[in-house]
Amino acid sequence: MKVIKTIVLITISLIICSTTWSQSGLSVRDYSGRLDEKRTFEPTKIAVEDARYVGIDYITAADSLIMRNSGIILQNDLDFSPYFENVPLDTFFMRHMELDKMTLLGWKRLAAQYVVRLEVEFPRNNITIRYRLFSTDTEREIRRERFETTKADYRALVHEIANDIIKALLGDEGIYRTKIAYSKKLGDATELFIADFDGHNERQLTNNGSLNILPTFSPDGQYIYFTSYIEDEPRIYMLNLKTNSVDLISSYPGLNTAPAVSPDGKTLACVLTKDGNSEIYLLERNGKIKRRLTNSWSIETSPTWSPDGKEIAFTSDRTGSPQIYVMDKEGLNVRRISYQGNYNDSPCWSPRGDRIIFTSRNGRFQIVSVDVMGRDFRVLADFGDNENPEFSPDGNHIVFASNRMGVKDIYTMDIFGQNQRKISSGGGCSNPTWSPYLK
Amino acid sequence: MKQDLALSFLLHFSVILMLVVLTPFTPKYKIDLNDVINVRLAAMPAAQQAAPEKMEPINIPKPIVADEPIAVVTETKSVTKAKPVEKPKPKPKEKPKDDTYKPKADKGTENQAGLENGQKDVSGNLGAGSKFGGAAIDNASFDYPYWFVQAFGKIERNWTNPVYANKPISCVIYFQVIRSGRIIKTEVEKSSGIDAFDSACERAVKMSQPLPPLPNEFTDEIIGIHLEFPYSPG
Repeated sequence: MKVIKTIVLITISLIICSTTWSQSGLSVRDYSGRLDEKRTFEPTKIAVEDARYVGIDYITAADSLIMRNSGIILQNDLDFSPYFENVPLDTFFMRHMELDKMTLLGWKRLAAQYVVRLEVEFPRNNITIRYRLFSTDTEREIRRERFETTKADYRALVHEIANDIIKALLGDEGIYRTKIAYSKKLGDATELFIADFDGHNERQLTNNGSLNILPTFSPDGQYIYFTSYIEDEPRIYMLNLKTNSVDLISSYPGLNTAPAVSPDGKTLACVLTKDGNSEIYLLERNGKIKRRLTNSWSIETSPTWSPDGKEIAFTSDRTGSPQIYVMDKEGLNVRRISYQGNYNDSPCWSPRGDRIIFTSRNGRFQIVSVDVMGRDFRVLADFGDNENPEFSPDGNHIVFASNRMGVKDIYTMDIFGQNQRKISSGGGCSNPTWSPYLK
Repeated sequence: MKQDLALSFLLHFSVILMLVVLTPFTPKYKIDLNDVINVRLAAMPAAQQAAPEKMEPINIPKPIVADEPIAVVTETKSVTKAKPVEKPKPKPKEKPKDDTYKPKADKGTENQAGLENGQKDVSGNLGAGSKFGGAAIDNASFDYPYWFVQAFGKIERNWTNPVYANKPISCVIYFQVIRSGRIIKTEVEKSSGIDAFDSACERAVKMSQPLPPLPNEFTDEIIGIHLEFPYSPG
C-alpha cells in the first residue's frame, strides 16, 4: 500500500515538474496560426482621411453613412494588399491645430508615406467621389480622379478607387472588383454563391436543390463551370453569369467532375471515370473528349493549369497516398512535387507561374506552398482545418475554406499567409474560387 | 506517524532533487516572436530629426498658413482645373530638397558609373536600407520622388542575390519605361563579371513589369534609368 502511495505521489510530482518544463516552451498564437513565410520588405504606409462633403445641399443621415463607409472600405481595400499598410489616425501624436484639420505633415509624423483624401458629393441620386492622392514626403498631389455612380453601388465605386491607387503606385491591376464563388449549404442542398472579394454583395447562383460543388471561372469571367448532381449523377455544367442559364457540358458514364479551364479558354481538364477508375481527360468546350491525359490504376483528380497553359498539376495516389504531380498538357513528363505530409490534395497554380499551393495534412489540414519543382515548402495557414486554396488573379492573395471558428467558412489571406480574413458567415461554405479580372 | 513523516520527507526530497536536476536542462523561457501578435510601433521617418527645424518655421505663423500651400493651392486647382498651375508650383520646392539629398546622392553617384550629359542622380530616392547602390535617370526633368520610391521598391522585392563572392561586386542595369509603366528595354550597362549576378539583376527588373505609370504631368513618353545592384561579402 505504501509502495503504491509512494509511486502515485512520485508520479504526481513528476507530472508537475514536466508541466512546468513544457510551459516554458509555450507560445502564444493568434487565430491565423503559425506562419513560415515572412515578408522581407516593409509595406508602404498609406492613410485614408475621412470623406469630406464638398457639395452645397444638405445631406441625409443615409448619405453621411455612405461617406463614412467609403473611407472605411477604402482603408480595408488598401490594407488588403500585402504591399500596403493602413495608417490609422492616432490623435496621441497629433498637434493641437491638427485636431481641427489634419495636415500632410501630421500624417508624415504618423509614418504615412501617402495620404488619400476623399471629397464626396451627391448630385441627384448619385454619388460622386473625387479622390486625391498625396505624397507626404514632397507634400505634392500625385494623382486625382473622379468617379460617379448610383448611391446603391457606392461600394463598387470605392473599390474602383482602390484599383486606381494600386495602379498608380504599383503599376499592377487591382483585384478589388473581382468576385469569389463558392458552395454553400442550404438545408439539404448545396448551392453556388458569388460575392465580392471581401464577402459583400453575396448572391445565390444556383437553386436546384441538389449538390453543386467545385466551381471554376472561365478565363473571361463570364461563365462558371461546376459539378452538379442535378440528374443524380455528378456531371459538369456551365453557368452563364449574364443570363444565369445552365448548359450541360460533360455527361459521360460515371463521375464527371473537377473541371479546370485552360488559360486560353479553349479546353477543359476534368476527371472522368468512364473507363473504370478516376482519370484526367482533356475536353473541348462542347464537352467532346480531346485526349486522355493520365492512365494508371490509381485515382487521379484535381487538375489545375499552369498560367502558360503548358502544364497541369494534379493529385494522384499512385504511390499509396494522395500526392501532387505535374505533367505537361500531353500527359507526359510527370514529376512529383509534394514530399511532405501523407495527404496532399487540391493544387492551384499561381498566376505568376512560380508557386503551387495545395492542402496538406500534417495532423490537421493546412494550406502550404511549394515552388514548381516542389522545393521551398512553406506553411501558410494551419489553424483549424484548411482546404481548397485558390489564387487571386494577381497572385497576391489566396482564398480557402476553413473550420477554424467551428463551422466551415471562406477565408482570404495574402501570399505570405498574413492578413487572414473571414469573408463568409453562417458556415457550410466550401470550394471557393476566385474570378479573373472582371471588365 | 513516523512512517508518514519519513514518506513525506522522501517525497519532498525527491521533488526538490528533480527540480534541481532538471533546471539546468530546462530551456530558457522563449517567446516565439513568430507566433506572438506583434505590435509594431510606427517608425518615424528618417527625416524626423531634421523635421523640427523645418516644422518650426512653418508653425510659427498661424497654423492655417502652414496648411495653405497644401490645402488651398490644391483646392484652387480643383476649381480651376488648370494643369499649368501645377508645374510652376513644385519648382521652388525642388531646390531645398535637392540640397538635402545631395550629400547622400553624391556618394552613390561616385560609386556608380559617372553621370553622363543629361543624366540626373536620383539615389536620394532609394531610401534608407535600400539594397541598391545608386540610381540615375536620363530625363533630368523627371522629378517625381514617389515614382522612384514605388518603382525601386518593386524591383527590390523581386531581387534575390544568387551568388557568393569574396569581394564587393556591382552591376548596373539600364532600362527604359514608357508612359504606361511598361519596361520596354533592359540591358546590363556595367557587368559585375559574374553572369549569374548580372542576369539576376536584369531578371529583377523584368519581373517588376509593369512599373507604376508615369505621372500625367510628365510630358515625355519614355524615361531611361540606370540602377546599380551592389553586393558586398558578409
